[in-house]
Amino acid sequence: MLSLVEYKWHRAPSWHCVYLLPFGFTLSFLIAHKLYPVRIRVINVAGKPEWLVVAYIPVVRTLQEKSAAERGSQRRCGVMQRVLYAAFREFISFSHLGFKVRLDTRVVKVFPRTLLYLCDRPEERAVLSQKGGQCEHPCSVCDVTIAVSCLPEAKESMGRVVVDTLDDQIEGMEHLRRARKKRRRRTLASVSSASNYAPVFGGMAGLGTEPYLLYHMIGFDILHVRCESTLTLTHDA
Amino acid sequence: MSAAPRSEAQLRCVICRRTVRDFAGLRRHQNAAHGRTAGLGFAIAGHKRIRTSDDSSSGLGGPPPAGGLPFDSSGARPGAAGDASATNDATVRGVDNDPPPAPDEAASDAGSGFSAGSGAVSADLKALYEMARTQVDPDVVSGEDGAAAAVSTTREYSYGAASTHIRALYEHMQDVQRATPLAEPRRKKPHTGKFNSYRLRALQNFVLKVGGAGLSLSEQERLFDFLDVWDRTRPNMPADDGHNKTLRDSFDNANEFRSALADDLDMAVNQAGWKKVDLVEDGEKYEAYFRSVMGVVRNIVSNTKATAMNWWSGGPAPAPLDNRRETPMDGEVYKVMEQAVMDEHGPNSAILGIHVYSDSSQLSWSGGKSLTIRGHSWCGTGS
Repeated sequence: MLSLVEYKWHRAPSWHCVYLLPFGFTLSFLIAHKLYPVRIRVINVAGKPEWLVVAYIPVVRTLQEKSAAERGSQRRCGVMQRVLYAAFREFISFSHLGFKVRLDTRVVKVFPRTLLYLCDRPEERAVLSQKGGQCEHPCSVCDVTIAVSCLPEAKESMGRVVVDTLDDQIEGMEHLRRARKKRRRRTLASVSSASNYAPVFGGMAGLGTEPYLLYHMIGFDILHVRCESTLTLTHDA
Repeated sequence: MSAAPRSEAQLRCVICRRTVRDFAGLRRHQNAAHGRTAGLGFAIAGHKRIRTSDDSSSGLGGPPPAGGLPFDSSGARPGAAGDASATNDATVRGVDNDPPPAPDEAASDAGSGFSAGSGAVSADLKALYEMARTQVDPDVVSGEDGAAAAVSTTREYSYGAASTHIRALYEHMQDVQRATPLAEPRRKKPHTGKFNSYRLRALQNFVLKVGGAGLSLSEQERLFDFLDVWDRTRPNMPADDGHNKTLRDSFDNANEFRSALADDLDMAVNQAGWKKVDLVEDGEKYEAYFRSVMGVVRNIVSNTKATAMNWWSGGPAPAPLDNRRETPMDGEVYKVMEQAVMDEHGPNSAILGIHVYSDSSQLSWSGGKSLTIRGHSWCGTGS
C-alpha cells in the first residue's frame, strides 16, 4: 500500500483536508485550495513512459484590488517560478556537475538535461517568464512584433537571444526584489515582452548555456488531442 | 359524466344464461368464462346487428387493447348500457366472430366481487371500452376535414366520457403491456439469496452503499481479493505473527484505525521526499508542494535494470543526426545536447534527459499517450 502513497496523498485531519491525486480525479467538494501538478519523465528509460509528479503549483487567482490583472499575473509568474526552482534545484545543480553511473566496468559521468517542456500556450509564456496575451512580442522563439506577426515581414524577424533576454530579466528581477527603478523595469520588460522574473530553466545547463535551447524546449500536444495514435509532439526532442 | 356504465337491473349471458347485475359484469364474465363476448344481456328486437366492418390492423385509430392482448375491434356500443349519446349506427359484435384471447388472470365474476391484478384491470377496461365507445362515422370525419379519410383508414371511436377516452388513447399505445422487467438476469439461473447471514448481509450492505453509490464492478473484484486475504483463504499467502489476529486486536475503535492510516500515509509522503512551502508574493501567501526532481531521477535510475537504461542515442555510442524518430532519444535536441556534453567531458559522459509536463489551464492530459481518465489532477483543501 505504501508504494502507492508515494504518488498519492490523502491526508485528512478533521479540520483540514488535503487531497493530492496526481492522475486526474476531480474532487469538486474540496475547491478551497487548487493546485496543478508538474510531472516529469526520464526518457533514457526504455519501455512504457512513466510520468511522475514532482510538484504542485498553487493556482493564483486575480484578486479584487488595484491593478488586479497586472499584479495577479506577476504573482502567478513568481509563484510558478519559485515552485519550479524548489523542485528542480538539485537537478539544475547536477546538470552542471553531473553524477557518476557505473556501467559494468565503465564509469560514466551523466549530466541531466531538460529536453522538453510540454504545456499549453499560456503555460509556455509563464514558464519562459514572458508576457502573455496581446503583448508586443507574442512569439516565444523570435522577436517578431504583433503588428507584423501575420505578414510576410515576419520572416525577417530574428530569433530571441537567450543570454540577452535572460540578462534583462535578471536585472528586472533584481530591481523588483528591491522595489526600485520602476521605470527601468518597465523598459526592460517591454524590450522583449518578458516579465521581471528570470525563468528557472535559464539556470539549467544546455538551456541557459551552450547550446542555449531555452526557447526551443517548449512543446505542445496538438489541439489537445488525447488519442495516442494522433498525438504528435511538435518539438523535436 | 361518469365513465362507469349505468347499471342494469338484470342481464343474462347469451352463452350460458347466467344472470349478472350490470353490463360491465356481463362482459367480465364472458371474457373470463367464455373467452369471448356475445350479446347485450337482453334481446334486441329478435335480431342481432352485424358489424359494419372489421379492421384487424392495430393502427393508432383502432380500438385500444387491454391486458396486453388484442382487443375486440368491433365498434360495439350498446344503446341500453352505454351513455346517452348512443346512436343507431353503433355496431355490435356478432356471436360468431372470433373471440379475443382470454386475459392471463381470471377476472372477478359478474362485477360482484373484488379482484386485483392486471387480469382484473384488463377485463374492466375491456368491458368499459366495449360498452362506452361509439365508432365515429368516417363520412362525418371526412366531411369536417377532407384530408382525414385519406390519411387514416383505421377506425376512430368516440367515448361517452373524456376520462375513458384518455385511458383508451394511452391504452392503445400499450406502453405498460410492452414493458419488460428492468433487470435482465446475467445468467439463466440466478443464484439469489446467497447473502444469507448477518456477516454476509453486512458485507452486501457495505458493497452497495459505500461512497453513496456502492462499489463498481472492478472495485468489487478488488474487495473480493482483499477479503480473500483477510479470511486467510488465498492460496499460498504468507503467514506471519498477525495471521490469526482480528481487526479489534490491533485497533480498538474506528478513531484509532483512522489515525493509524493517517500516520502511515504521512510517513510515506515524507519518505517520498514531499515538502511544503509557503510562498509570499506581493503580500499574498500561497502553499506549494514539491519534491526534488533529482531525488526522483535517482530513484528511477537505481530502480531500473541496467539493460532498460539507454545512455546514448545510438545505443553504446552517440548516433549522428538523421531522420530517425522512433524514440525521444532520436530527436535533434537530445543529440545536440549529447554532443555538447561529450565534446566537453569526453567519451565517458552521457546525458540524462527529462521531459516536463504541466498544464495550468487544466484542459488536456498530455502525457505522451491517451488516458481514459478525463480532467486534471489538483489538490484541494477545505474544512
